[in-house]
Formats: sequence, structure tokens, C-alpha cells
Amino acid sequence: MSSTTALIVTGRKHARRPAGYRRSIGVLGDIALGALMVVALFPILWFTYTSFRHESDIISNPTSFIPAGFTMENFVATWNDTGFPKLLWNSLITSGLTVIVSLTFATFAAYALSRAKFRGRGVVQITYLAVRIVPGTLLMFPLYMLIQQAGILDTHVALAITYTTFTLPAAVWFMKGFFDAIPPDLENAARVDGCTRLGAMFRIVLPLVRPGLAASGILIAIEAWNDILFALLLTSSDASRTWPVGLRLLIGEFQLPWGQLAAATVLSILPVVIAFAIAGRAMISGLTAGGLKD
Amino acid sequence: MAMSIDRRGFLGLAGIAGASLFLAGCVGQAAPAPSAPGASLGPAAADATGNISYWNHFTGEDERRGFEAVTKGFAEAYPGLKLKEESIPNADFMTKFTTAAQAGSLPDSVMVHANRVQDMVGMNGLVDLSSAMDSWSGASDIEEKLLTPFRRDGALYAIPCTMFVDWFYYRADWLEELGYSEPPKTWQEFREVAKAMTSGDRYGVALRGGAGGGEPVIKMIRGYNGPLTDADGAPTLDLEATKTALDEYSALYLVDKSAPPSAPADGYNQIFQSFLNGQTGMLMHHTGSLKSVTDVLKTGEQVLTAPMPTTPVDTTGWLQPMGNGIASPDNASSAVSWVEYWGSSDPQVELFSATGYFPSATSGQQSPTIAEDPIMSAANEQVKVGVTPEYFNGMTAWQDNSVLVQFQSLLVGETTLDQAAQAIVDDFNKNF
Repeated sequence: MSSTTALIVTGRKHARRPAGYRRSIGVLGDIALGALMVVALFPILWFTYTSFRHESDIISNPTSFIPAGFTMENFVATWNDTGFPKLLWNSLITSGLTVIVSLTFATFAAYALSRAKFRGRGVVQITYLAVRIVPGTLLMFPLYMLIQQAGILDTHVALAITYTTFTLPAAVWFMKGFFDAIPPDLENAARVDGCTRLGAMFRIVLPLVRPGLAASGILIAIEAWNDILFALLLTSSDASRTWPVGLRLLIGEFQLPWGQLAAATVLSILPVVIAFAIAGRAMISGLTAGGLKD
Repeated sequence: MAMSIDRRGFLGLAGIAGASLFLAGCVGQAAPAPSAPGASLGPAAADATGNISYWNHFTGEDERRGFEAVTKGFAEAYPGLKLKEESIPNADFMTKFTTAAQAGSLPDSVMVHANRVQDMVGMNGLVDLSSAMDSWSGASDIEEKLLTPFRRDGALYAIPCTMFVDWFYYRADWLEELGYSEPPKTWQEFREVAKAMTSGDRYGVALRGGAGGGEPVIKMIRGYNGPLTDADGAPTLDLEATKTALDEYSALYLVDKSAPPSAPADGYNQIFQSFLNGQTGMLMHHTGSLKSVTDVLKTGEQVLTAPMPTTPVDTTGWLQPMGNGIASPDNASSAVSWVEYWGSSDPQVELFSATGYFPSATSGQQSPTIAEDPIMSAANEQVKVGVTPEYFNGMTAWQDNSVLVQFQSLLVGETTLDQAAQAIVDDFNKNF
């Protein structure tokens, strides 16, 4: 037998590959992962780098890896001259409101779908899914008319209601998976001891689905944080405008301030990065644990 | 048999009833169409009070600065009228306008691009300003050719507040190196100078074959075809003229090699990047981009401007006015004051100082701020001979989906000149 290609035959059903082969596969895998990481991280690193460059340097040497100096002028201009802090604050408020509204309704709806047996339960579940398939642009007109008739155009509430429309269905399905994984016997035991159904839900079930709540909350917040279509449509002043609109408004008809755009983008992703740093672990455990049933 | 209903059933019925009432209240009545133009629209008195809601697409630092100067002047002229303006990015403007038109919640006044008039009027989104124009003292300060793009079926839907005058930028230092005493005037001279400028890493002209490149092609086509309408106003496009235009324009890339290899894919950013960082020596655009160029290149030493080259038939340079119209007749009197104010020369010169956007009012064009600026002389020359383009319904789609696509295919060798020209003319005849 050839020494380089011989299989080491053991008593086990599957033959083991030689250590060298496994090591090679491991290295190739690491290289592939590294390449994917570079592809994923490069845009973020590039616009962060761009945000610290002089505008004239960006225009004259757009693809240079060696800048003609670093500057904070883009951040200063974005922060002081464009009202961006207010827009970031609006985004925080809007996303926060959306998370509260959407998560609350989703939790109750998912619990009901998981525990209650009622006629039309399947239809309700499918309807939640069907709504999710409808593209946002098709809902532009009806949502605008509803919001306008309700007299709440250009408010945080208008955006929160709109975002809830899109985030609620996914959150319901997501949370239902978590509730399905909790045995009903736990609540039944609590109810035998005198707990009401709602009491059992709050005292027994919700603590157990905390990872799911965290994951849902963050996914809802990200979707609300990044929306531009409805933010443009439903807001008209800095009273409620969000950061994606602000970013868009930095671009003139014939002006493209790359440095300021990059700085504004860095400022916009900072809250998301911080939130993920705080709650990321809970989110990942929520995303990965939701489908498992013991 | 008595009907019995339990608690759950009662709650279900109550929920359905409540939801129905809510929806009925929310749907309400259909949005009323703006009233047809009727009595004479005159401006408000100088001591009038009230609010004017106004939508514009001035974004970016320079435009905002210029716009603030205009609104400041309006506030001084009409201290009782408060302008509540909203800036909407240009690319999203029609989305919001269309949605608001459907919901019956248009603002009092809107900024109007000439190529959007058809769509806006079709949505009942603009009011006829003919009577306002007839009674306005500033009307004589605006050339009729600048009003034509805002006219449809005899009605006038906007008053110009600024305009973009086509010209081309050129590297004055490169021209001097080559021994030219003046920039090219005709299309053949333009090609010669572009060829002369091309050597090593340098190319003579930044050719826009990518996104947005359809309009320059149409300008060339019109330059050889003449007006895109006949004497009766019917759309007309000649095949031979189209072929000649495509041949001449693509020759920059295919024959003379005086455009960069990336030209078939170059959009706005790429052509400006190439001009500003010294890769190309000439760039065809308009007065709207003046500030972005002179912020980087030194006027006189490095960059100057010249009127667009002419063909044996016509100029290739357009005048594209932008105006303000009235979208809702409810507050027309106040809105007319705003529209007419910005239609006059003083605020337009203020806007020019901040943005380089050329005044549409004749007296504004002749103001010392502009007349004494050497780089603006090209614009003044172009205004004398420049044409305002014809706009048809669906023009943008023809421009992007037919003209640009055929031009790109020609540049990369996927089609022949005859085929490209035939496809463009066929699509023109089919659509218009």
C-alpha cells in the first residue's frame, strides 16, 4: 500500500482519515472563513477609514490605502452642522417604541397561538405569514392614508405603528417556537397552585423564554433602525426624522460628501454595535435555542 | 328559538364591530381632485399672514445654504407668511408626491422638474398658473423658451426659479500645454482636442456610458436631428440623424480612444472622479456641478468652461429649468407669492452665490455677480443658443431602457451602429 494514501483501517464502521489530511482540511476551512470575514468586514472597515480622511484626499485618491493625513472634521461637521444627533435620537425613540409595541403584542399573540385551541388558529397563523410576504412598497399608499387620516404624520408613533406592521408577524412566529418548547405542564402546575393563566405566563413561562425575547427584540430593533422608505414617506421634519433619512439628505443633487457620509454611517452603526455587545449573547442563544425541543 | 351567546362569542362580535368602525372611519372619503383653474390667481398682499407648505428636493450642504438665503429673503418680503418647507431627496421625491396625491394631502407648493410635469399633472397634482403669470410684473423677465417645458396643453404649471445650462469643463492647463488658444467650438474640433489630450494615463474626455448616460446621447441625437417634434408638435426622429449622432459620440471611445476604458460603465461619480483627479481633460455637464468642480480645481489655472460643441444642425447643449408650482389650490394666493418671489432675479442670484445654479430670470443672468465671473461667460453664451428639450410621457423610460442600453451595447461591441440606431428609433416611434 502507498504510504501517503493508505487509509488507517480501524475496527470502526468508517475509516479515519490521516491526521495530515484532517489538518489540511482544517487549514483550508480557516482560509475560506478568513476570506469570508474579509469580504464581510471590508466595507465596514473601508468606510470607517474613509470617515477619517480629508475630503480632498478622498476625491483625488479614492482607492488609496495610505491617506494624506487623518482628520476628525467629517465627524465634527456631521455632528454640528447637520442635526444628526437629533436624528439618531429619533431613531432610538422610534426603534424603542417599536420594540415595546411589537414585542408585547407578539408575546401575547404567540402565547395564545401556542396554548389556546380555538377555531381558526391555523388560519391566523398562516395569515401572519402571508402578511410577511407582501412587499413593503405595496403597503405604501394604504399605510400613508391610514396614518394621514389618523392625523399622526410626522410623529414617532406613526413610524412605530408602521414598523410594527412588518415586525409583528415574524416576531409572533419566532416567539411561538419558544413557547411551544416550554411544556404546558409547568403552567398547569402553577395554576393548580392557584396562579391565574396570565400569572403563570408572567411568572413561569416568560422567564424561560428570555433568550427568545432578547433575540426578537433585537431583530425588531434592527429592522426599525434601518428602514428608510417609510421614514421618508411618513416624516417631514427633524421632529421625527430618523438617521437613514438624514444620511440621504446629506447627498445633494450634484454633491457627494463622501467623508461626511462615511462619518454619518459610522455614527449610525455605533448604537447597534453597542447594543449587540450588550445583548448579543442572549440574542445568539435565543436564535440557536428556539428550534430545539428536549 | 332564543339565540344564546357566550362571553367568548360576545367578545368576538364586539371585536369585529370595533374593527369595522375603525376601518370605516379611516377609509373616509376619496381624496378630492384639485379644483380646476378658475379665477385669476394673484399674489397675497405684502402684509398677508398664514402658512405655506412647500416641498423641495434641495439636499446637500450647498443647496441648503442657497435655499436658506432664498427663504430668508422671502421672510423679509412677506413677514406674515411662514414657509413650512420639507426637503425630500430627489430620487424619492415622486414616490412621496404620488403617495400624497393619492391621499389628498399635497402641500401648497412644490418644486417641479420639467420632466415630471406630465406625471404631476396627470395626478391632478399641479394647478394652472397661466392667470398668475399673466398678471405678474416679473413675467417679462423670463424667456418664453424657459416656460415651454412647464406648459402642457396651453396651461402653465410652474414658474422657473433656476436652471441648469449645459457646458463642458476643460483642463485649461492641458489645453495650454498643447498650444490651443481657445476651447473647441464644434463637435469635430471637440474630437480633435480630445484626441490631442490623450496620451499615457491621460484621456481627452470623460464619457458617461453608465448610469445616467442616456441623456447625453439624446442631446447628441437631438443635435443632429433637430427638435424631436415636427411643426405640428408630433414626435419625430430621423434614423440617419440618429445613426450619425451615435457614430460621432461613440467615436470618442471606439475610434479616437480618447475616453477611458471604463467609459461604458462610468456613471456620474466616475466621470467626475476622473476629471477631478486628472485622468480626463474634458467633461460635459452643466452649471449645477460648478461648485463641486471649483472646490477641487483652481478656476482659470486648471479648469475653465465652454459652451457645448455644435453640430452642423444644432447645438448639443440644453437649458433645463427647474421651477415651483402650486399643488393645492386651497392656499393658492399665498403660494403664488412664494412661487413668484423665487421666480424673480434677486433670490436666484442669492442661490447662485451658494450653489452655482444659474438664474432663469434674464436680469439675474446679467447681474454683476454672474456677468463679471469669467467662468460664467460660457453659460451666458450657451443661454443664447441653448434649447429646452421636448418632454414626452415615458421619456425617462425610453432614455434608460432603450437609448442607454443601445449605446452601451455599441460601446462594448454587442451591437452594430445600424442595429443600435434602428432599435432606438423603433422604440421612439412605438412609445411616442
